[in-house]
This record gives sequence, C-alpha cells and structure tokens, in this order.
Amino acid sequence: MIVDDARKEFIAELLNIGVGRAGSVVSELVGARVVLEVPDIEICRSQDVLPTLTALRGDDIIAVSQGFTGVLGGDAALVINGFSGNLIVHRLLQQIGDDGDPATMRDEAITEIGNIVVNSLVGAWSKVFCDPFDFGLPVFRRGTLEDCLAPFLGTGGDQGRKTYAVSGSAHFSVNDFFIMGTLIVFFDEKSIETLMGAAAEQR
Amino acid sequence: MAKVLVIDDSGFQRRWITRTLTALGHETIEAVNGLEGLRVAGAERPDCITVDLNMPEMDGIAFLGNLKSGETPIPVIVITANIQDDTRKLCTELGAAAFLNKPFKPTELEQALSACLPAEDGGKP
Repeated sequence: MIVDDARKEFIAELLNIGVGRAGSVVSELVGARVVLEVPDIEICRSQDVLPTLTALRGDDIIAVSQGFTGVLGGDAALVINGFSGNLIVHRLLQQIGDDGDPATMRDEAITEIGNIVVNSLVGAWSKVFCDPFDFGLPVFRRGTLEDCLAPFLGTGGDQGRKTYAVSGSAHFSVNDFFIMGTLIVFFDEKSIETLMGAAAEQR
Repeated sequence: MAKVLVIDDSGFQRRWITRTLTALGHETIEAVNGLEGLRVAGAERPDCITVDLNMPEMDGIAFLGNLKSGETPIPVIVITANIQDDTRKLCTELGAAAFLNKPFKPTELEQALSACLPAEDGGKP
C-alpha cells in the first residue's frame, strides 16, 4: 500500500490532534504549562517501527496500550522512558497533594495516564468520523522497547493482522524538565484502508 | 457529610478520588469493579457513588443499568477517561447524575456532589 504525501498529511493530522490533547492532559495532571513541540510523525509497517523510535532506548521503557474498535480498529500506546515516567508521577503526586511513595505508585499512575491519553486521542477521532469507539482495558508493560511493543509487531502470531504503525514522538517541556513521549497506533489492514479512503475524500 | 462509594479498577485513581472526597469532609468506601460495587452499594447504602466506565468483571455502563433496576435510587457520578459524546449521552440515559472526564478538577467533583446530595450531606440547600 502506498502512503503518498497527501494521505500521510491527513493521517499525521489525526495523530496531531491526539498529541495536542495529550499535551493538554499532561499539563492538567502536573499543574504546569506544557510546551509542546511539533511531533515527528512516522507511518510504516508495524514490524519496521522499532528503528524509527530512536529516542526510546535502554531497558527502562514503559508502554501503556489499549485496544479500540469502531470505524477504525487497532491498538494505541503511550510509550515513555522510565525517567519521564518518574518525573510525571512525582509532579502528579505533588499536584494532588499525595505524600505517597512515587516508586510504589508509578506503574498504576502511568497506566491511568496512558488510559486518559489514549482515550483523548481515539475519542477525538469519534468526532472526525462521527462514529463512537469502544475501548479495551489498558495494559501496562515495562522493559526494553522490543518487550513493550512485541504484541504489535507481527511476530507473536498476529502477523498480517496489525500491519501498519502510525507514531508521533512529542517532546514536552514542563518547567525546566524535558519529557519525551511517543504515541503509537497500530492499525489493522481494514482500518488503514478506511483511513486511506477518508484521506482521499479530503483531497 | 456524605458516605460516597468510589468504584474504579485503578488503585491510583481510587486514591486520587478518595483523597479529594476526604478533603471535602466526606466518608469513602471503595470497590474495584461494577460487580463489587453493586454488592457494596447494597450492603453499605452510600449517599452517592462515583463510578469509572472501563473496568473488568462489570463495567460502569452495566453497573448503571443494574443499579437503575434496583429499589432505591442512589445518585451516580461517572468519572471516566472516555470523552465521547455518545458515551456521555448513554450514561445520562441510564440515570447518571453527572459525568466528569479524567483528569477531573476537585472543584468539578465538589460541584457534582453538591448538585446531587441533600443539603444535610453537603448538597445545595
């Protein structure tokens, strides 16, 4: 399937909507203005996505993914490195006046943040496509990037079903700290065709 | 002040909501999904319930449907990450008293509670 520039632009805009909302959500959560840089959008086959995520290296990567069904179907994931995760949770606990230990609450807190961000991303599309989406439960994974994204790369018996990955890496800065997060959506074949059709109608 | 049942599968979110409610002077009890929420609601008779939508075992939509068919109505505030208008409409049709999106502001929860509680429990006189 050829993803020409015009179609790529349409798909990128869909992800941009989500990245913008994600920035807004993070801003509300941490109680500080978030400066959001223009995200880098990549569209590729799922099995080719890892080399494009150059900023997510090391063995402390966190991903929260959530399946969705509707006019489009697939899995959307928020992926961040452990440092960014710790920073967000620390600020979040400060914001809500919780004196608990960030380390013990980190996984649950990040799962909830991922849930909110993915719902913001896909929920915004329901307005674009005038069709509601249903969501699965959020799934937390931690390890290397390969560990975190393994279920979506077409190597675990799913080959051929989830074929395309659309990713947007965004750099947030909160006060003096830089946080790097990536939103990735793995679309099944039918959904990517629907997206291409919608993109063609936009031209 | 009121007794509020907080239903959410996320421990972090329950902690967040209960801290907010406690700061407002309310008593809280918790459940981790809709099924447990129905049991706790029946046993404890809370004055108000907050419920998440996307949960295992029984989700918030099924919870609202089951609670609606019960004997005594208890006001329910939906607190969810789901931002879709259709979802909000469905919850309203199922009898939800208020619908808040995560992340919620403490003042939003306070206003929602105030609107659905009697004056002696902290609601609007």
